[in-house]
Amino acid sequence: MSFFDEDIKRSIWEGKIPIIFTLSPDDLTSHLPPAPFALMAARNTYFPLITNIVKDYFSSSTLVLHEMWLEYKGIPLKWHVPIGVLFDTLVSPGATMVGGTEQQATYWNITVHFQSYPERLLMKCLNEESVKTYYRNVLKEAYYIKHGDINKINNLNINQSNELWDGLRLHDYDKFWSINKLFYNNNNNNSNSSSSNNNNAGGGYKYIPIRIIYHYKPPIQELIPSIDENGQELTLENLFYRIPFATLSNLFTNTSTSTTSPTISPTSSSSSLISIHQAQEQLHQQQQQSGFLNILQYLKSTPSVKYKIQGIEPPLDSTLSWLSEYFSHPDNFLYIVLSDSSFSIQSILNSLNSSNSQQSTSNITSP
Amino acid sequence: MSDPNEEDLVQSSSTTTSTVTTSNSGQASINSPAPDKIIVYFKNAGGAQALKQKKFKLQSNLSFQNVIDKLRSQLKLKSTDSLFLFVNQVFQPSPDESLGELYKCFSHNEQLIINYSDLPAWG
Repeated sequence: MSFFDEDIKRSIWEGKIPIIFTLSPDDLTSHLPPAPFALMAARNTYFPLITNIVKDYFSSSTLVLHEMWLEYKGIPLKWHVPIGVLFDTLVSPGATMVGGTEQQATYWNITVHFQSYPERLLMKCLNEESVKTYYRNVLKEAYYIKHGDINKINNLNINQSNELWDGLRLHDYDKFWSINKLFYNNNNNNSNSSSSNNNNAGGGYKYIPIRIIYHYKPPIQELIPSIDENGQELTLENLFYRIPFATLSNLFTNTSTSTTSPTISPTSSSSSLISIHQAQEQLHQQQQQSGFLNILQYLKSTPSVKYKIQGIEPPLDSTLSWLSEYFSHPDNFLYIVLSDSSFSIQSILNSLNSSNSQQSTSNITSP
Repeated sequence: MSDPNEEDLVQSSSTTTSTVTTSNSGQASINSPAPDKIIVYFKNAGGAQALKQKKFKLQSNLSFQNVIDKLRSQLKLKSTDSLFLFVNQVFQPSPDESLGELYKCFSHNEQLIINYSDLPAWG
């Protein structure tokens, strides 16, 4: 633990994204469209926790006040993914390449909808309680990976649980971290010890809770220990080395083996079939031609591929236990976004529609 | 309705697990991808009824929502009946999580144990 670590933790917490919300023309029922609504959104929160004010603002311009949902370039935004992770996946330079021209994102332009909730693509979010339940379960999942049990979470008293939730909900650093620090080992005990050869190498975690987000797909989760067989702390490079490239390409195979044509949603263009096949083909070719063993090889030999954690690219020799401690989201997962700038937003949209239709028709086989 | 043969199941799923090792020190192993099909063991709790067949071999690229739907149909639940699914009696996965990813992180003896209840028993 270095002198600056606490500052880093606070900087990560304070990370914000400028967003401009615009009401969908489909929902407009007043004479004049309302001016867009601008907001600085914390990276580490969830949309339903900050968009009540947006809903109130637009409610006078529309008569169709059903469940609100958000969309970026035709892609429904998953409310249960932290805002910063969504931004890094969909907007960060690279992912904004449209038709060969890179649009430098100065703010995030999001469309607000009040009707036609895309139930097949988005989980329902009934109220703030839905977010709380969701958050609590992801937190338990992460803690379980880290420690092999969830005793500390179960043993929180009601005040502590509320403090944690209020800290997240109200974006209150001190409130949140007064409880969240209990879930991390190094914050608990001798935090002033700077010696590297203490017996707490790797933070004393069983595994590091890590989610890799690729192409707006469900997260990739691997069991990654904090130290290797020789007692060395694992680094980001070691992590990428350990994850087989097939894990990424498997995300695509369920759609490419489909013999039925994917359902096209009304929002996607007629060229979508072509570009999804291009995207899949591209990936399969990359895999077959270069025979990537793991993600590290893919990263190193493909200049268009970048990784991002909390919007930045930490050095590959950063240790996972340190990153986990200082770069994790409030759910205690370390989110690593892998983006390939040669994939367009359109192909993300298409694979979303395709994999969704594939999943809904999958047969579950029993022995 | 046939009874599952456990021996066969375990054997067939373990054939796909292999570890690649290299001489590169410090980066010894590469994780195995999830097998194409995995065994899910459903255990009931609370007022939820037990299944006649408790083990299913499911495709690993299913979403957890697919698993919920499958279990609900096996239990012949009405849409108003509540059902909560937990992994290892610990947490409720999000419906969009992939079964294969859950398997990689939380399986025991090459099966993923899912506890279900009509109440949020481990909530």
